[in-house]
Formats: sequence, structure tokens, C-alpha cells
Amino acid sequence: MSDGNRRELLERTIGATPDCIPAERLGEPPTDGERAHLAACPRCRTELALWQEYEQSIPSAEDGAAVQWIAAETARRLAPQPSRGPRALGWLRWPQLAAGMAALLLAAAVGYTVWDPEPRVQPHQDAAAVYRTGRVQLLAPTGDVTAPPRVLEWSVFTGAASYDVNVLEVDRTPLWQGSAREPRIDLPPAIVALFVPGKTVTWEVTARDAAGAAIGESGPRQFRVSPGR
Amino acid sequence: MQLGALSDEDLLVEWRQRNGLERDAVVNELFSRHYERVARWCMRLTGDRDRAADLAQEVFLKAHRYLDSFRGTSRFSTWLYTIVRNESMTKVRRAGPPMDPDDALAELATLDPGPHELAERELKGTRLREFLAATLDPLELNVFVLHYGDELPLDAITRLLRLENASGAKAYIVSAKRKLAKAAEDLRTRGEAL
Repeated sequence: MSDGNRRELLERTIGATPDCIPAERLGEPPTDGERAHLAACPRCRTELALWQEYEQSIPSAEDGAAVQWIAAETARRLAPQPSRGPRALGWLRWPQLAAGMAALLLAAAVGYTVWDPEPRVQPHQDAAAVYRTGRVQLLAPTGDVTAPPRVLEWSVFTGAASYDVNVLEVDRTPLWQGSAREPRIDLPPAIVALFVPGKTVTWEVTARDAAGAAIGESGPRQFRVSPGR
Repeated sequence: MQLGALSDEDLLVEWRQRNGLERDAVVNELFSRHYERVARWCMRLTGDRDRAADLAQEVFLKAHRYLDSFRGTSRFSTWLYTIVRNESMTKVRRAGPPMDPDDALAELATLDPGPHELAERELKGTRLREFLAATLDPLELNVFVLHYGDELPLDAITRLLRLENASGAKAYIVSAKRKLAKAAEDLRTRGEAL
């Protein structure tokens, strides 16, 4: 069996379907419909079992000490410092390091200026070919929608030859990437199937010129298929 | 105000309204309630204290970065779990192929409609899922989905599901394959198809 066939067979038997229970609902009492679905869905039964392991389990005696150490270590690493963010970013505030970095940057800037002086002004550049990075306006879907969207649409961005599209989980785990020449893109059915009711999905678009340079970005936009459909 | 008396969701309301140190204190209270649970999950998945601490740190940094996107449509603990799950599965996903992949899927493949029956595909997919759910017991099903679907190594599954038998998750895969083969054979003997 080829890798492609194996993957497709697995998707069909144990992958998520449009009827699957969204992760956000796992902590809630199942509805009658969800209970019926659970009885026959290997994916949802496994996700529920994992959620229950996460939510309810008690540490065994042997991993109890390790868990306590990890929790304490996590707290130590993330503890906010006075007027700082999490400690993982705290080095930005250390005066000695900051001074050192500033000196290094200054030396690099001076060296670069000497090595590569300011370029001459070019005699002429076609104004139409100069673009500033701007905002790509996303049209649909946004907010709560009644059915899983099959198409993503945005406004034409002046100067764009193509658009890169990213579809992501709310934690920015990538779900799908695509590219289009028009300000719209059809989503493959396997991706549409992931848009289960209640699940929030993020998408964003980057406009590119003919040379492939990014000339506009939309920023993230979210949509969700209404749970009550 | 006693932060400890507030629910997770109320803490998030406070977090949106505060600035600076007060804001740090709120998020510290919120996250500290979940350190142990996340630590336990990370330890089970990685089997190593230091790797688990790194994973837990990444989970909370990611949660901190995207806290503003939490819309309150679910409990905070469920929202955090989706980050824990996605982050940890990505990190721990096995590098090599699953245990006997073709062997395990061969019986399912014989029941599959094949690429020429596109119109029936969705229905057949449903029946395949029902066949799997009805044939395997709950633990076999979970191990099968995690190993072949989520590509988790067997030792991680053994720890995650706290399997205490000698060979852990491997025994459940062997048992699942045997049951699937027998159930498929029974279907064929009866002249039935999915």
C-alpha cells in the first residue's frame, strides 16, 4: 500500500469528520446527538479518552515527584519579573546585556556604513511599480457562520500577482496553505471537513507581487461554524 | 480582590481590564492552577523530566501569546488543553514508520470501496469507522488511533494511557490487528460487505 493510499484510508477511518465533536466541547456533557456520534466514531472516542486522562487523572506514586518538579520548574521559568513579561523574555531587560547588545549594534551599524555607504539615488523608478506593505481586506468568512465555508474571499490588493492563504487553529497550528491568483480560493473538502461546529478557525492572506515579494498582509481573522446549526 | 477566589473565566475578565504588574499577577494565578496538570501530561508523553519541562514551558508561552484570542466560548481549561494537545503531539510524533503499517491496514483496505466508487465514499467511510469502533474494545481503539492516526510512538501511548501490562501499547496493536483480520474474514465468509 502506498503512503498516499495509507494516509487516505486512515483519514477516512480515523480522521475527523464534519460531525465530530470539537475539542472545545469535550469538557461539556454530551448532547444526545454527540452521544450517538461517540458510539461509532473512533476519533472522537479517542479524543474524549485523552481529554479525560488530561482532566481527571491522578499522578502515580512514581511520577508524582517528577510532576512536582516539572510544575515548579515551569512556574520558575514563567514567573513574571517586576515590570517584565515572562522570564523567558526577561533577558531583554537585563541592563548589562542590553548595554552590550546596544554597543554591538552600534559597532555593526558603523562598520556597515563604512563598508557599504548610502546608495546613490536612482535616476528614475516607475511609480506604479513601488508598493508599500498594506492591509489585505478579508471579506468572508468572518465571525459566526451557519455552515462550513468552502471558499475564502478577500478584496483585490493593488499590485498583487498572487496571494498566499494560511488556515490555522486558534493556537496557530497550521491546518492548510494555498495560493491563488484571484482574490478567492476554494478549500479542499478534507479541510472543510475540519470546520466542525463550535471550532474557531483563523485565516490570513499575504499579497505578493510578480517577483514573489510580500506587498500586503491581512493579519489574522477568525470564523466559527455556529454550534447550534 | 482575592484572585484565588475567582474562576478561570473571571480571571480572564480581570486580565483584560488590568495593566502591568497587576496583569502579570492575574495571568500568574491563572496559569499556576494548570501547571501540575500540564506537567503530568508532558511527563507522560515525553517520559523525560527535562523534555517535559521544556514542553510545558512552550505550552504556557503559547497560551500567553494567544490569550487575547480566547473568546470565552469554552472553558479556559479546555482551550488550554487544545494547545497542550496540539503542541505535544507535534513534538512527540514519531520519526519512523508505525508498527507494521501495511499489515495493520490490510484488512481495512480489503473492505474499502476503492477509488472508483467515489459516490459511495462518504457512506463507506462511515461504515469503516463503525466497523472499527464495533470490532475493537475501547483501549485497543484508542491505541490504534493514536499510533496510526496521530503517529505517536508506542512507549508514549503506554505512558499516556497508563497501560500497565508488560508490553504496553504494542500488545493492544497486536490484539487489534488480530481482531480486525478475524472480523473482516467473518464478513467475507458471510458474503457481506461494508
